[in-house]
Amino acid sequence: MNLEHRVRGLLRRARDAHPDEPGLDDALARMSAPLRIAITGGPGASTVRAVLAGQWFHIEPDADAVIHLFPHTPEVHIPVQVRDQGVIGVLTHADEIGGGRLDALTSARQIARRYTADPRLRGVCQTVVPVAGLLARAATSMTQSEMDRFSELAARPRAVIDSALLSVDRIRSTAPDLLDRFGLFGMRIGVTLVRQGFSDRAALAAELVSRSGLGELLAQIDTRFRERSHVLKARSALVFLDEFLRRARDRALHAEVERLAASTHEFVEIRVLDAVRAGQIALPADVAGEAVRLLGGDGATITSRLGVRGDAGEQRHAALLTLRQWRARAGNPVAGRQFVEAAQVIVRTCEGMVARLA
Amino acid sequence: MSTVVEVIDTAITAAEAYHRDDLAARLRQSRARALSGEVRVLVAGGFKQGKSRLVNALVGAPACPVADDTTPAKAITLRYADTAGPIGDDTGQIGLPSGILRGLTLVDSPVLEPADAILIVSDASAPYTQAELDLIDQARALAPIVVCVLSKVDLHPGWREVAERNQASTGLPVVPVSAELRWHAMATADAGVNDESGFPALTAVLRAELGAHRGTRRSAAYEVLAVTGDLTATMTGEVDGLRAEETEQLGIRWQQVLNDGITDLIADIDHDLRDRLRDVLKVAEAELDAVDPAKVGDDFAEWLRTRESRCTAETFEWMMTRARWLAGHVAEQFGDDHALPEIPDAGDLAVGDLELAAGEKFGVGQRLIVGMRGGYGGTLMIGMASTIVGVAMINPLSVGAGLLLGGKTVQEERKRLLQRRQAEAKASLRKHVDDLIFQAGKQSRDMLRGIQRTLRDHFVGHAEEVHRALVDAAAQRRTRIRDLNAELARVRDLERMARELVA
Repeated sequence: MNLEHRVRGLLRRARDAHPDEPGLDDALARMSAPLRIAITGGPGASTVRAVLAGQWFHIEPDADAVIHLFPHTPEVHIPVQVRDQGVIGVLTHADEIGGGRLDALTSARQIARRYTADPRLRGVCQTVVPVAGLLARAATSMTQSEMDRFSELAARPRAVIDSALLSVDRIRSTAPDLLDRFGLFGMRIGVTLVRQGFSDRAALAAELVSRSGLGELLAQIDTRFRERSHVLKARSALVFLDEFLRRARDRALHAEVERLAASTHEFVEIRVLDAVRAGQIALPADVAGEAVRLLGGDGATITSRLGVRGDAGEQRHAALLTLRQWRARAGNPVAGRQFVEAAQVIVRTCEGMVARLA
Repeated sequence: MSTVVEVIDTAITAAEAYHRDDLAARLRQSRARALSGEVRVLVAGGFKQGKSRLVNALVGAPACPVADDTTPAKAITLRYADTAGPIGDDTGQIGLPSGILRGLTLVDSPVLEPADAILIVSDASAPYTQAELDLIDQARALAPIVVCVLSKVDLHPGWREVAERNQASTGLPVVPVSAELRWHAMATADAGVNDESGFPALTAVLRAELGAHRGTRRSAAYEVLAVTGDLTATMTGEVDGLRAEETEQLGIRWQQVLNDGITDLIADIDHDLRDRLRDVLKVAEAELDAVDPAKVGDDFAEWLRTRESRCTAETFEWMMTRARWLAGHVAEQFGDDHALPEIPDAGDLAVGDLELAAGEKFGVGQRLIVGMRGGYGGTLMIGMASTIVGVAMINPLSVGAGLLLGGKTVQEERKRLLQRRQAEAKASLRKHVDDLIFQAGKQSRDMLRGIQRTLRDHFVGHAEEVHRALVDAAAQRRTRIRDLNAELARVRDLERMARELVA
């Protein structure tokens, strides 16, 4: 019986035992509803919220996973209450980091990588993605008339338009409407792209989405949240049940919830993954990278876990090889206890993959 | 009015007198600057606000390292030189043949320090935060001229509004600049873009402000003020510390600790003694209920004495442990390693034997008489009834009844006597235990009072020694406070002179 069914079963039993609690019906309904993602931090939360509206997930303050925004500052701090869940960090105002230069997002990406490796964020935040929110919003809602304006600007003599794009004050006199929507960085990049041959609205919009960092953010949301959305939903349902049953003093059901939370392999995986990421388990760098990958740190599908593309036979072969390797590691008599425990969890993960590939 | 150099010299003497070589070194630097007529302009601001870019754009050369990510926090000083390059071995000092550096030194610094002018750099993305307003307040205490520079105006469409709000919240001139435009202007030699970048305006504002103030003089005076502030804080801190020590009163405390401790101890020991002996009493009473005191007399007394001796011995031992701890605690009040007085061990308490009352004898004669009395009544009763039916008064039936009743009476009498003996024994047991509690209580109290006297005599002697030392220390302290106050007055004089230069 899989995790989702067991959580649903527990929720139903709790509802039957406590028919007066409306929250249980909501929790049950949420199990079949889309994943809920909270957007915290700032600046730029409202822009990111607007950009991400209408995706496959819901944006709610009380959520199964979190996207936390923070600017480029020396004092990064992620509040404690969001640490318990899946978190993607977003480095906002990414276009300002490089002073709005064309390659601003490239340096923003480097800084984001440094934040991902930052010991204060490792183990809290799964990854950090830079996003230029203003450009992302404009790109997702770009109109044909805006496309025409870009084409018209790009058609002007290069020296004229480049000198106009030097500052906001200069470009405002030429194209105030585009400036308000796309910002200086967006206009610079838009005009350059049109010059490079993006003459179609859809193509330009898609390229701008990618240049704004939104594409990367959506891809990360897919690998980190969508692929394990049932685990994230089950986890928040169990957190809710745990809290409610404790309040209702229902010892028997509460014990079952605790047992499920402690024994479910998916949760154990996440705990070990967090520990490996936070550096609490001493592993050589390459082994740690492999462990993170196998535990689903780069995506929960078998392909991303094994890091092997190909047909089921090849994947099965790779999975068996990995299984043998980790069995040997788990049986290593001189390894530390934490390492052996982590290796055992990975062995179990590999066994699951082999079984599914059979 | 004294000259700047004189005031600085006085301040150097003062700093050296107080063994503040760091301050003296700083003052010597500013003395050299005051003599050379150098004007220091410090560029400061928060993280990623464009400080280094501003400096580079001002001098028109990539002198300070800039990066999109963090740059190492290191001060860089730019001076005029005919050829570009580091000055001396110090990598923090760079010479440049840049016009703006004639008669002016630019410092890109991660921290605030006294200067002739401070440029506070903040980007145009948002109005000043509280942290930036605090930084500006600090800057105003360190330099006569503070100019707010609004950077990156090429990037933020709302910079005009931000500039207005910053001007309103600080009351200082706010100069909007764009380092990007300045670079572009230099690359293309475009005077129009250069004006747009705001840098000519910034240079003009700086020159005007510096010209309006007699810069060198004032900056050195600010340096002196910073030093006097530092010295005053140190000295007032020491004076406050000394005053606080004075108010501590050691003399009364140890006596209080001792008296309270002994009072508590007496109450505790008394309670402990009663508690233990009451337990013994309970057990002994239960024992007496089960046996005939007349038969177990001596054995019982022996058992009771052992139990009682053990109880009192345990209590006394506990008492001595507590008393020794108390002595140590009192000694702690003096805060020195002073030897503790010898506390004698508690003597044993002589526990008297329990004397059980002899009780009434119930010998053969008595038994016979009691039996006869009961038997006589029985015989008579049945015999009288027999005469009614014409049988002789003494007949087998009446004799049998007599014997039966006689036996029963003897039995009852024996039981009554046993109960009486038990009751008497218990009464004397209680009296005995009461006596013991009284005696042991008295003995323990006497012992504790003795200990209290011993400790008091001992510590009074010690306290006199300590007191003499304290009086000496207090005298020294008062002298030190007087000295410090005199020094403070001197430093304040220096401060006043420096303020006159500033005014």
